[in-house]
Amino acid sequence: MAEIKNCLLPDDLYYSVENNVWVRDLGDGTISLGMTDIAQTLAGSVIHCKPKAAGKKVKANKSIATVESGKWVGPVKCPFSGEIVAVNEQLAQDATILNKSPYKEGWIVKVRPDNLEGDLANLAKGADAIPGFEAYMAEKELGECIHCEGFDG
Amino acid sequence: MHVRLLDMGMVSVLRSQSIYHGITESMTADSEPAISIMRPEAAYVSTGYFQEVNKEVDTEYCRENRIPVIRRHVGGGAVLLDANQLFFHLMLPSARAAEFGLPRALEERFEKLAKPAILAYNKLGINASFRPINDIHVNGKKIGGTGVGEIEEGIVFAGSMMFDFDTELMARVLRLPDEKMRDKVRAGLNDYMTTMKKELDVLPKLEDVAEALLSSFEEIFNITLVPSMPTLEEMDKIYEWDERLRSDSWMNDIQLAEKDLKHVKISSNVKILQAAHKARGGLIRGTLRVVDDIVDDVCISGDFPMSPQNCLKEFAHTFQGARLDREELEKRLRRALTELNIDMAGVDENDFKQLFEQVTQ
Repeated sequence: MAEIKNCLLPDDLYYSVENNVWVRDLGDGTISLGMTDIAQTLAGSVIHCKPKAAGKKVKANKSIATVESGKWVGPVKCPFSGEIVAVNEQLAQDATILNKSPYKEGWIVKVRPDNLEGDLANLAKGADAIPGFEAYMAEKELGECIHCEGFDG
Repeated sequence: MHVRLLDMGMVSVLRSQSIYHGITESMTADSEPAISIMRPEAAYVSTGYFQEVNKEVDTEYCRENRIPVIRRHVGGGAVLLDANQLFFHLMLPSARAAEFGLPRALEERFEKLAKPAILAYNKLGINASFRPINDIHVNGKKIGGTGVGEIEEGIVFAGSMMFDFDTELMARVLRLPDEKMRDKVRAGLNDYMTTMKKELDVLPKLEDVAEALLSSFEEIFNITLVPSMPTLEEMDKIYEWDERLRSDSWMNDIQLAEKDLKHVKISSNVKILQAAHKARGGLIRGTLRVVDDIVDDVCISGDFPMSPQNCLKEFAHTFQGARLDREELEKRLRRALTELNIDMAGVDENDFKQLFEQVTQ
């Protein structure tokens, strides 16, 4: 697993540095998507997460979920256009999953991208995302990632 | 940097929300930042984005008393807003946040964004300071909260300058399980909130407060405010938000899981909690005021028989001064049950333990 300043970036995932999300190719024409370790650190403890409903069409770089942390309400953006095919219902019960397990339990939506192959080709995979995230962290003045108790990657 | 100033004066209740939602949503990466100020022409309740309106607000009371309720695309809890508050909204493209001098870390961002209001209060002779994560306090009392929302490519930072506040009505519009909790919320608001009127013994002039606020924005962010009005494109978005904010689908968008614990946050360090537990002998309710994680006031009530009579107050007093910590509360519980020699039919130590489990979650 790639790591920058205590921020984990699993090798098998694709990353959109600009949107600070990861993408997992599920091999059936769909992908799952969630916040990176860096995104969950920047957000702090997430109180609520409301993904858009399954069946909704999303445009590239537009919101697929709204999260609240502190009194900040903001979007999680999807780098692709496509259709949401599933949402993680567990997040309605406990949004801190996004902090505790950003890459495993903390997937937010599954999407069927309009152009999966082309879209994935535009993302950085595994360690290839390190330079982009290094620059991103420097710009945001983020020293290192913070992991809450019970963090399991 | 030039920043547009939208001084909207007194506006309708709906517009006091739709203007900043519409302008923020209109922002693109190269849009000019804007600051709007306005007051609503009537009192209303604004609920946070992630609040289930019916669970937080006594909507029947509000309907009967013609108090509108509007859910906003900004975090936080339900608040009463009226013409005694001067709203301000700083709106800018997310892409220009760094250029505007906003730190990325949320807590630091809140601190920076609260600075103009704090400086304005200071200019008016009020000793305001920042209290993490997003409160403005005067000698331990909250004078206003702030919130941030991101809508599409735009960020809005919302806050208000508090001339006066109707704590009675604020406590009344919330949906609370019983009058005991309402009393605690009312007392909490009276004890831990303040206003310019309370601090100065007189209501300052609106134009003086506006001038103090806007000059502080210019000084803190090193910007020049240029009087402006919403563009036609922004007006189209404002009309869209007019419709969205009053639609049932927007108002009922959030449905949360049922919780046994009722929680009202008065300020960043003061909260009122109420938990209920059904014991064999009847329902027991614990209502607590917690200040800086210390139990400051307690009321235990229920419909179970207790001997000796009238020992509930003494029993509740046992927990005053305790840390909001399960172990400490249980220790005090054991001591109280022994020392006060209390007999509660159908209610035992375990029932209170379950109550404490809820309040310390």
